[in-house]
Amino acid sequence: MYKFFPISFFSTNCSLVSAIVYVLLTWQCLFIYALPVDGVVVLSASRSYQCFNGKKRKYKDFWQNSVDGMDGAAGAGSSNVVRQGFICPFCMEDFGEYERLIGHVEDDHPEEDSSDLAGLFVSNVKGFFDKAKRGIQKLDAKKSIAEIASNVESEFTETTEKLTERAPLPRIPKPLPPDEISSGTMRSKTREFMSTRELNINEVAVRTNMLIIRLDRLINGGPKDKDPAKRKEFEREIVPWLDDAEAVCCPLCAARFGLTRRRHHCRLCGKVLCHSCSKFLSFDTARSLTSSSNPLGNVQLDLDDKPTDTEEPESSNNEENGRRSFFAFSQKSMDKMKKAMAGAVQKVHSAAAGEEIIAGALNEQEMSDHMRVCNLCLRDLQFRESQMEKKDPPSYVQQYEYMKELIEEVKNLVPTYVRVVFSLNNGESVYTHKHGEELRSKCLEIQKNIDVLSKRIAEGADDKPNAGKEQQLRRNIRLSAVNALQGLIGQMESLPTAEECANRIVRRKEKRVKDFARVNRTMMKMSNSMPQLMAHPHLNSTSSVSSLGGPPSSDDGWTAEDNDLVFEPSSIEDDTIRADHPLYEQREQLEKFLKEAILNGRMDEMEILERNIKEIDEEMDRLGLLS
Amino acid sequence: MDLVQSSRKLISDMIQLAGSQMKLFLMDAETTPTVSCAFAQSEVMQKEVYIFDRIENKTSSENIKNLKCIVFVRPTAQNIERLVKELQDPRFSQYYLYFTNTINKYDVKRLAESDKNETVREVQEVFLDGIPLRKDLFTMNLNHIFDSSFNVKENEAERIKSGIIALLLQLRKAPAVRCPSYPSLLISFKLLMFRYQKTSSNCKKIADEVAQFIRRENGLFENAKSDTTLLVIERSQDIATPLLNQWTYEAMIHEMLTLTNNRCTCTDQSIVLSELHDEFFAKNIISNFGEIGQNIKALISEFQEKKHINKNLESIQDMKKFVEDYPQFKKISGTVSKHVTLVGELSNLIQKHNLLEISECEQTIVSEGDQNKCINKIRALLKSPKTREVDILRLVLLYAIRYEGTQNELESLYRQLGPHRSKIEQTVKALLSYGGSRRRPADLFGGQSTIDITKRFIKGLKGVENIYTQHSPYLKTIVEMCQRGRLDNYPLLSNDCDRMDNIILFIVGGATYEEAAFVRSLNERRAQGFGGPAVVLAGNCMLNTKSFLDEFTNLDRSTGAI
Repeated sequence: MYKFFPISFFSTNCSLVSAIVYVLLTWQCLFIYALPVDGVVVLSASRSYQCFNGKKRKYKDFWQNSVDGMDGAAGAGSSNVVRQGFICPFCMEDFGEYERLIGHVEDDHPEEDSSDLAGLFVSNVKGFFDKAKRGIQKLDAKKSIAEIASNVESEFTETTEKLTERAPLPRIPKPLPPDEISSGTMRSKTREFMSTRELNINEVAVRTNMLIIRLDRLINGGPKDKDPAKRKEFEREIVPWLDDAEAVCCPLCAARFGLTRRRHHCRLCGKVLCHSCSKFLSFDTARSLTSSSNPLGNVQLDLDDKPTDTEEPESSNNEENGRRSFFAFSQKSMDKMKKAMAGAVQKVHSAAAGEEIIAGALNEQEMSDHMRVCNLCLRDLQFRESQMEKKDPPSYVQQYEYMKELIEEVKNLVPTYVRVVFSLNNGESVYTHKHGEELRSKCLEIQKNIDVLSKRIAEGADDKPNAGKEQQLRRNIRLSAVNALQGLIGQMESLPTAEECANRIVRRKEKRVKDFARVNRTMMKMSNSMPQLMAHPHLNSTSSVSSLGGPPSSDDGWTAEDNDLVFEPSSIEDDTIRADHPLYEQREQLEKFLKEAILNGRMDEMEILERNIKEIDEEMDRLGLLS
Repeated sequence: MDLVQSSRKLISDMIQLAGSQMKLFLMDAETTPTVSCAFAQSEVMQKEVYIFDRIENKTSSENIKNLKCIVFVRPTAQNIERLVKELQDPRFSQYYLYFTNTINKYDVKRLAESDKNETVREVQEVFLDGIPLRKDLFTMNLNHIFDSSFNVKENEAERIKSGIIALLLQLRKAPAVRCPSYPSLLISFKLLMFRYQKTSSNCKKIADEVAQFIRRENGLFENAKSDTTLLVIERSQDIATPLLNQWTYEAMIHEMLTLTNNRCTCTDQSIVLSELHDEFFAKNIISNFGEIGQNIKALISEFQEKKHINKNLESIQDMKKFVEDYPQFKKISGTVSKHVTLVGELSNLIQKHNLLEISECEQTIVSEGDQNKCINKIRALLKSPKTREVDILRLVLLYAIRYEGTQNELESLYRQLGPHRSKIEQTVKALLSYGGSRRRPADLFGGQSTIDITKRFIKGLKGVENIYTQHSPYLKTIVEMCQRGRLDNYPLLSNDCDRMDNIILFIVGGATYEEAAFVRSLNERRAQGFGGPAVVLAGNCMLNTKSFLDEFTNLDRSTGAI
């Protein structure tokens, strides 16, 4: 259902409008058809029209010459009321004159959410008058009315076209960019923790140092003869002993001392305790402790340890149980003991747990080889020892580190390989087939190594049934290595065969030649107007493959002469040119660098080099040097 | 506001801070799902974390030096105790301690004193105190939070509070905190009018504490934006939603098979449904059952096409090429079979328990409101032998909630129940006292205002697109109110926000996947550029009918004991 509202201008108040009306009336009549049609766009016989999409209604205003307009109105609008005048397309009110209509539209129909509708309308009404004005000027210049009409019309079609481009006004929602990933909040308490720990650690360290100093003096000094009484005196000299009378019960287990429970003194702190709360520290162990707290001794130890098999101390530690090690231990020479020093105190400790055996052992052994210490002191010493413990990484850790390096390496290599394959598939001549093959075999070799290594790591734990965690660790290392390998192999496309490569290169070149030929043809067309550039000696030859080296035309005319100079020589002389031309030299060098970069998996470098080579290729192509 | 991605980033930052070398990840019962929802195990392994262990089971004293230990636990008293023991006798070479929330000075001191071996390298608070199920869905797996008078228990309230705080800090938001209150009494006292507002005490308590925390720890919220509203609401506002059968994929799975931390068991087979690693699932999370069927068909035909190629592999060269495609191929076949099994099982259950008919009845109750029609339908279904007990329960419950005043009809329904009667009656009573009309907004089943009535009338004229998905959760009304700025019923407890670009909704008592689906569709629309705020839904747990009813039957037992 269409409704037509032809609007014509009858007002004569304003001179401008009257002039327009005059002009229009002389040659054509102006109608504004405002069509409030729900959702339906109406076209009548108009040659030019403009349309707006409003929020709810769609309007179509079209302008046309009187005859057409009348016909259209009569044809389509015959059954409808026809209104004339300055009618607002929004509210269908007649405003009588142009100014008032404009004012009304600007005031009462300001830009709402469907924004530029009203503005568009206003500007179009205005635009029409501008054009009409120009029409008048042209009229003044005594041009024919028909010309003006077509002029105005064509301008309208132009604007219409522009508008229809903008016409589908419904706002196309623009997808939001993906959310920024907020990193969340972290608050470090490390400093607070460290400072508290510092205080605490210092306290312990001071105490332990004191113990070590006393220990050092106890084992190194003292009377030469093994008289227990003298020895006791010496010990009391260094460490003041607590008076027996003051200790009624053992401070550790709170048992009363008596005939069966005798009082003993810790040789390090001088406190009184019962037998069960004290342990014996062998002089050998003590010596190792004191010597290794001396930094020089430490270095010495380091050197000693190096050549020994790394797995040995670990396994021996695990296997030796307290009792056996105790005897073995006491009979070992000093050197050997130094090597096995790790965990020495622990051994003593665990040995002491087997109480009776030790008591028996003590009877056999000379008292002077051991000294009684309390649990507390022993704990501190043990702690110090565990800190000094050499952290010899077990073999699988080293294997793992090596495997990690390999994975890193192959991870760098695979993308380069993918790139090379891509380039080869494209038929580019930057890489040769050999490059690809070398790279592929290198990747595969490393991957094989990773596989073997990870398998070895996984199998290493099989002989340690009680080390569940370690087994799990090893298995998972293997698992993740396999995963990584799968991912990498999945990325690796197969390499095209040498033949395919060659074919592709030829094809690409053909294509390029065709491209060049096309460019040349257009060049020729263009240069028709410039006869001096027309005569291009090689234009015809470029169509054949044999003249691959033929000079493709360049954008600027001057190269034509250059090309002549370079390219006149026959193919026999090509070799000399090859050797002579600096570009070849440069290219070769770049290729060498590139090869190096590939093998080392340096992606960024490759990129630059590749680009350079391509540039040189292009240049050479241009000069026709590439064969 | 993408919870999963930001959690991933936090966790990988944690791992990265520990440097290279082999690592072990030590978690507690609550942080394990956090990590597992953000990462697949193999992904973490790529970061050189090879062992995952729980701090609770310190059975083996086997120590592996050369292993760095990343500890990621909640700062509970037990965990601190366990850590103290661990540090006194360290099993590993280095420790990196990360706590999911604020840790107090005293605990830091205790840990520091026990670390005599100087093995600890880092101590950090990482605010990640809950489970990021989806990018806009957060849960804490915290069930049974109510005591016999429907107040949130002390410990649980504390836990919820810390969960909300961590969520805010993770998203870096300093929100305006609001919680609901309903005007329930109007006392006129001569000329003075007092408007007494009855607030949901649970929400108020939690929201107050959160607001207090934001004020107190303003240092933590330094970089936080204040463009967010946090609404702490309670399940009692809408107890109908968790009782309905669901028809969107994820919600269905949870309703019928129970989804825990994105995992479910289906025909003795454990299935992981992760948005990150399962493209099909990510696309279909909120598609309804019919759509999924179609999409699966498409997936299968795509797969068969692939298989077709597979069959055509003749030369060895081709085979090689195919194997080189292998990882992708396997991935596709994996998702196909998984979803085929799932959907098969779902439709099996629907058939078996007559769920379509039941769901239709439910939807009639909650959205149409013709009382006679409802009661007749329920009666018919009660007679059917296919109907499960839980379905009877939910129908009666829905009816009781919808027509709370009409005791007679309810009584007649009870009479029909037979052996289950006493149990059902009890549950109805408990639920009504929790979420009855006194404790929920009046417009749960559509308001009585003219606009609402017109809306319903128009809807009636147009007919419904899908009778099984007529119901929309009350959350929708809340979000709409929020968008329009009509939050009079949700008084502010903290500073107001500058803009309202984001809404964080926390439901005390648990969220449902129907609500999650609604939130997700909102966010999807937003992502397409239709505007609207970004919404994050959080709750102390994810409810389905079973767990929701469980919450209240257990409650009954505890009251019985008292």
